[in-house]
Amino acid sequence: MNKLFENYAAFIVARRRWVIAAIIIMTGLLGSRLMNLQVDMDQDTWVPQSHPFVKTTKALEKMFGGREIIMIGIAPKDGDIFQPEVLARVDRIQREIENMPEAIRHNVISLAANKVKDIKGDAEGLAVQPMMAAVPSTHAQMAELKARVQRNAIYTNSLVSPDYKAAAVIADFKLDYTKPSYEPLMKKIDAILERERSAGIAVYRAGLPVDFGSFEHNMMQMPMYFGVALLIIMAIQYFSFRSFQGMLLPIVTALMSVVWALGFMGLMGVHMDGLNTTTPILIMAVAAGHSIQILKRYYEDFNQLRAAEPLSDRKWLSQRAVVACMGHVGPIVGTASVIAIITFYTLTRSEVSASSHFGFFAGSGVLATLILEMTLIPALRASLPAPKLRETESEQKTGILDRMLGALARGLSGGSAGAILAAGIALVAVIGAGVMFINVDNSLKNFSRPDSLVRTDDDAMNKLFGGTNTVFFLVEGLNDDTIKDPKVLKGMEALQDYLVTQPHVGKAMSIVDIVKRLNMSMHGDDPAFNTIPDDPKLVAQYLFMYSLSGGPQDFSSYVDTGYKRAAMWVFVKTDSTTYATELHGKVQAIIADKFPPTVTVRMGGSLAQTVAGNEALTKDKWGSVWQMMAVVFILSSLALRSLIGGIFVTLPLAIVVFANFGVMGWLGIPLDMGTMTTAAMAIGIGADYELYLLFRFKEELARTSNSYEATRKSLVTSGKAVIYVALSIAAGYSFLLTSGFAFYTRLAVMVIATMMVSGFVAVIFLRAMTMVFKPKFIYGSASRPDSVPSNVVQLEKQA
Amino acid sequence: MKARSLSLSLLGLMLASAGAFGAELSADKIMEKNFFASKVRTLEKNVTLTLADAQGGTRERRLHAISALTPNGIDSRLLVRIVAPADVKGIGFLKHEHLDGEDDQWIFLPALHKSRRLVSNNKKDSFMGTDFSYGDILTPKASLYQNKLVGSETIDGIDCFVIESTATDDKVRREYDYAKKVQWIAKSSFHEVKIDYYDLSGKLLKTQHVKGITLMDKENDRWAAGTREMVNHQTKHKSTFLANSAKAGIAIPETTFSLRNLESE
Repeated sequence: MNKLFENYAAFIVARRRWVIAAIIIMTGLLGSRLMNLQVDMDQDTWVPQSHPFVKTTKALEKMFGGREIIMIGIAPKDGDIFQPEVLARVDRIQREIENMPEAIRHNVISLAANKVKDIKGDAEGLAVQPMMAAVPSTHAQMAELKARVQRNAIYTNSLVSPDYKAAAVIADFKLDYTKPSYEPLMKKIDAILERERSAGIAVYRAGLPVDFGSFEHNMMQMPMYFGVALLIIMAIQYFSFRSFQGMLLPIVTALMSVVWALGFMGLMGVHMDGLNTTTPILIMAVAAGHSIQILKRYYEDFNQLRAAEPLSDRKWLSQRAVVACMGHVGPIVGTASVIAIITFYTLTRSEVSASSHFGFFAGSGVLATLILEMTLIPALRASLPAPKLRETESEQKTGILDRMLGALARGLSGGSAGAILAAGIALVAVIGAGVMFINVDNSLKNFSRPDSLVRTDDDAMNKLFGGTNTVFFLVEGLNDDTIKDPKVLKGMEALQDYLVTQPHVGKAMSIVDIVKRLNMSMHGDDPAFNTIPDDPKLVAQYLFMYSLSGGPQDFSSYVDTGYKRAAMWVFVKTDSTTYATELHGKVQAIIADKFPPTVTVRMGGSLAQTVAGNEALTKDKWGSVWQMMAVVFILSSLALRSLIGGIFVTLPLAIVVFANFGVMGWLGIPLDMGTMTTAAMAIGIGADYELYLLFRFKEELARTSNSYEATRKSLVTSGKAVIYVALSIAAGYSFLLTSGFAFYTRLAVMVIATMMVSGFVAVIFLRAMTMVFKPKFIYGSASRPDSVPSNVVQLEKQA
Repeated sequence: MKARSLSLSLLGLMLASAGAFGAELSADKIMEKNFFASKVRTLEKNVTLTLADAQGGTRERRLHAISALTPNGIDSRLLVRIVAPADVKGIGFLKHEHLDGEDDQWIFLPALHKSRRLVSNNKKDSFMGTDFSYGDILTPKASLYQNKLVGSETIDGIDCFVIESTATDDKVRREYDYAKKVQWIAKSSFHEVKIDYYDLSGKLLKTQHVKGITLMDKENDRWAAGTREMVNHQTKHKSTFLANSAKAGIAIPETTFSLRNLESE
């Protein structure tokens, strides 16, 4: 295998100019596809499309709207909403939002909306009139408006708070779903709201577009985070090689890998979404990591060649060192990369697009990295001048890290391996125990920090109104006019009455409220008639009667044109998915008991979709982890030609994943789309670490026949490089800690923790495992002394 | 040279024609004629009303309508009785129009055996739950809009004046909910053939298409539409009134438009 790679490297080195030219052309071609890359903020990318809750939500959205609902609260600091300056704001916000091209005009409602009617009855007549045709300017008009609001309870908790301390504008929007973008929409809305804020009047906003707008805003900061990550990784590379050339080559490879992967995404029409915004940092770090391993080995081989042939031409020696180093590390880079590529590509099977896109992007990124490392690095390194003496000396200079690794090697070889392994297992067990406390939560709202405007406004709206989280029930019959059937309406009434008694449910609305209100109005506003009539014809006639004054779209949020389907809107103050799942379970008995058997009642809405996202995440979590483990086991067994070898690579990775979830549990970091990817990252990148160290250990053991020497050498070469790689990735992500966006900070914490655990497991745990079990695939059948040679101990002490 | 002089002659002719229109029929005059064009003294119609939503769902209702002009020649009395579907059959709707005041409206619900006065007099409110507003059905006075003749165009084979009507003030804008209307008025009958309605932000809101315009009262030059279709471009909702039969000039007793008659099932 090594010879094969040497021959291959010699071929590349001989044609290095052509190779560089081809890479430049390829980079140009893929770079030109960057323009095709589409940023995708579509809500659908976060949820599994086949989940019943998601299907119901889509059906509801198609029939009744409500996909992009923003709730705006207008709250005076003193007094109630019945003040001209408050109501004028409601009126202005209503008109300005209605006139936005993105607004679904008939689905923008407030006290000032033409669609929002006051239904009033007396012995003689029925009045159905706009709630607030104009802002009241006299005390009498204001009193009249207050009376109107009080007698139409349907609007309490939705358009007005129960204590009348706040009024709301609820607006539905339609985006261009070929390229959905929330930030421009939110900028327009915020500009309108900013004009209405004053010292005495607070204006809040909440809803999915607000959450997505915030996400998109933070997503757009990513080029800045990427730039800083690049600088951090460059600094670590410089620290690692102590030379400009040593730093430059990995960075060029890393940047080109990102361009290739992004260009490939553009070419294949795969969209860039919120989850993928941090993936360029991952690709850059992985590429830089492999490059470090290759170049570290190059310097090592160059120094050996130079020592053996001091009079030879340095450029010629450099080219031979390139060939030699590719022979040494090429098979490992190839195997490790193929494992990572397949691991990431297995995620493309996920039904959640964001997760699938991440798998495609990360997999393509590692593939680009592999191609560039196998072509550009040898070609470019062979073209560059040979390293100067000063450069190789400073690269070889040992520091505190070398001394620590040397001490570790002594500990491992001096009989402490068993104790180190036991301590490692105990430590991992303690960390892993955190898995019991893990919380699956993919709530978009919680991607923002508790002190962010998104969350504080949301909290304020939840306190004032029925709730900013929506659950819908889709009631569906077999034929037109099913919903006019009093049996169905009474079933809906029972469900609605039950829901409003549940904790956290602030409001439930449906056509039932309108029918009851009309019945009462036609009986002189007698509360005894606040009921569903038993006569189906009377229900139909009430609804027709309303239509004489109302608009054709007045009930469009509640029933379809044929009255075959109805939507019940439920506003909930919590976004707990556990709560939503329990609620779904509780209402089943009422649905079975109170509705005719031909009628189906299904749940959907933003909160239900979050439940669906979480379920997919949990299912995906274990499914993809097992798949990835299997891939790692098979490929590493093949690469090491040993099933035990496969276990030696896979077991530490399982430990890393276990610890990864444990860290989430202990730190209270929820498992979401972002943190979930760190498990994939732990496996994809962790396998690299294991393989580099195992291969190097095997190579050194074959060369020295001494376990200590093999341990020491593998640690100060590959182990040191592993530490630099883990440090690069962790440091690259660390700047995200300053982002102020919880989704990114949580991801950064998890990447840092994962890299620390991966590094620890590869450098210490795996080494201890090797020393304790002495597997045949490494040791062969001959016995190898573990002892630390006395001269080495002496020399190290002197050092 | 010859071609050029011919072009100039045609241009001259066109300008002269335009001048003649301007001199003989101003935009206001056209709209005044339009205001009266559909005011038939007495009319009995059987109508099918179809409502269609953006998802393709449709609802159909059949109505029987009788109307008569009051002596002032402007206001109407209107009685509508629902014929189908069965669950709303027998519902009656009575309306006494008052151009300069609030209309009187009553509804009779057979399932309740009661009639009720309806208090709703907003021109922008929907007419019977359709995409037509009361203001679309009861043509507003020409003086409420600044009318401008912007050209001529043939619509569905009918030669029309094109009139752009802009609300004179904010009150009219808020009352009717339109900033502007563009109306295609038939040169022969002065009946509207097409109207584009623009909302207060200036966006196209609705379009009404009128077909089957028939002369009902030759003596007074009054016409009636066979079909009126209104499409709301923003909600994608559509309402169509199709007259299956229409009779004009019939004798209708005044008691037809009484509350007692409304309540007779």
